[in-house]
Amino acid sequence: MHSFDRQLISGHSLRIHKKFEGSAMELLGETVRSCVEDSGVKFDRIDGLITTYLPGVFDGKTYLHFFTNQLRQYLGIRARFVECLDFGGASALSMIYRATKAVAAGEADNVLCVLGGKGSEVRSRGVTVDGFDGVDPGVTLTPFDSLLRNYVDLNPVSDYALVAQRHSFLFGTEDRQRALLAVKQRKNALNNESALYRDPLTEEAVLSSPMVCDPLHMLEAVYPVDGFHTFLVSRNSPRNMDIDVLAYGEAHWHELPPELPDIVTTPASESSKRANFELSKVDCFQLYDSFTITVMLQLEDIGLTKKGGAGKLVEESDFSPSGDIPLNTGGGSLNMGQPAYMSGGVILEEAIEQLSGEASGRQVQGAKVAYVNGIGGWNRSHSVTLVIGEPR
Amino acid sequence: MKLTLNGIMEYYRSHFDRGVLCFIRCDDCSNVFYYPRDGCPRCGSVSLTLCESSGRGTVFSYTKVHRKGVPDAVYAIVELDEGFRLYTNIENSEPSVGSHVEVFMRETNRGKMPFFRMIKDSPDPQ
Ligand SMILES: [Zn+2]
Repeated sequence: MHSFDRQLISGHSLRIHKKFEGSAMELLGETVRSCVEDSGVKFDRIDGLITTYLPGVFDGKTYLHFFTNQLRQYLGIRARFVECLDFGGASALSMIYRATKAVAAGEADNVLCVLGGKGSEVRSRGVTVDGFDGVDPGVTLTPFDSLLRNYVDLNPVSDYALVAQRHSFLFGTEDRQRALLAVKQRKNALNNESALYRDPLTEEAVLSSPMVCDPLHMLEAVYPVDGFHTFLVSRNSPRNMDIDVLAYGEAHWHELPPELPDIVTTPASESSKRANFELSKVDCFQLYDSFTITVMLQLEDIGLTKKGGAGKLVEESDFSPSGDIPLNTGGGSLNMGQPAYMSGGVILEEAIEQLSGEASGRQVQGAKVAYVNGIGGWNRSHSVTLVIGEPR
Repeated sequence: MKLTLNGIMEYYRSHFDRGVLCFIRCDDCSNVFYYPRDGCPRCGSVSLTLCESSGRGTVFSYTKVHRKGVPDAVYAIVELDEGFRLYTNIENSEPSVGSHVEVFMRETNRGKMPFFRMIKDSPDPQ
């Protein structure tokens, strides 16, 4: 049943490889074609594009001059609505919201949302995307680089490690509690055919994996991969899924973490308040999982437990699809990989699969509402809360 | 007179050369901050004063970074006694949150920059 004049997700697709040998544009084209086919929308009816990118993820190039132009030239999209966001891991969620608004306002009929690239291109240069200035001095990370970039760090890992360390200091959070979260997410991944990592995992294995930045171990961190996610938002497409935006909030903080009152609270505390959605009505939670601690911060910040309570919540909760708090039900990015250093597409895709009953082997029975939260930007400056589900 | 970014950096550099850490205080809202701006990021005031720091503070958080091909280093946020915080490295140390540290300057490819070391005879944190 589709009511008249609804702006809904009509198609979605993903392509993820540990390493894709071809060009990022080629992988993008393949993902887009699959998404459009899924939607039933004719390709030449796509008249909107929202996208994002980070340095290096398009075949190692630092910067693509007139990026949205280049994407449209390659794909063949004559558009009347185009936007480029740069919220990192939170971008995917904003794309969906903005696409529904654009379609509702008559700015476009079919808006393609695209994110991804090749993480391997950055990795092969021996840096993370947050250290790309080491490859190209033309890149700045903050307006204060002359006072920041003389120190040994390994951001984003070292940044989240500072948070994990302080979280343990303030609240007594234990390493094995974070490890347990990784174990529980892996359990969910075992039933997800698209997951990259599908071997059973133990707390001991997490804690004995190499220490990257203490207290964070290798198996508590995402692995950057090559891949794209695409979503199509359409007006009245015959295949529109019954998935609507139920609540939404953004928060973009300006402080560098040392300038915040404390570093254990993320902008998710604010974006979730803005979304203001009753958590008891949620059937599954998909929370950004760049690291174990990232998920734990959001469990607190969106209000599933009080600040400092995440360690205990992880111990006491069943995060499986049939559990009391179905969380990262496909295993999350920790097990899917993080395409192009931003995996908002991973959590959004899982939410859509759950709501459309496509999550075979890991389906949350009768899932009608998915709560998705993304965090991104240099040192956690952005958060986007997106609640999607059955239209009301 | 309103500060300029160049003026702030000149002040910082000349103080770093003398081994002194500095920061900025907002005359209107008393906000103290390290990362240089010509307007207060809390209240927008351009009435700002450049200040010298004691260079003493405590570890707000820290992590030991293990990187291929580079010796292990402690990356940290230090809170100075004047209330502002900054990112830095702490030398050859096994710090804890709350450990007392002091600044020293080290030559880098951007000139002398503030690093920190543990104060040896400080009381144990907590
Ligand atoms: Zn002020």
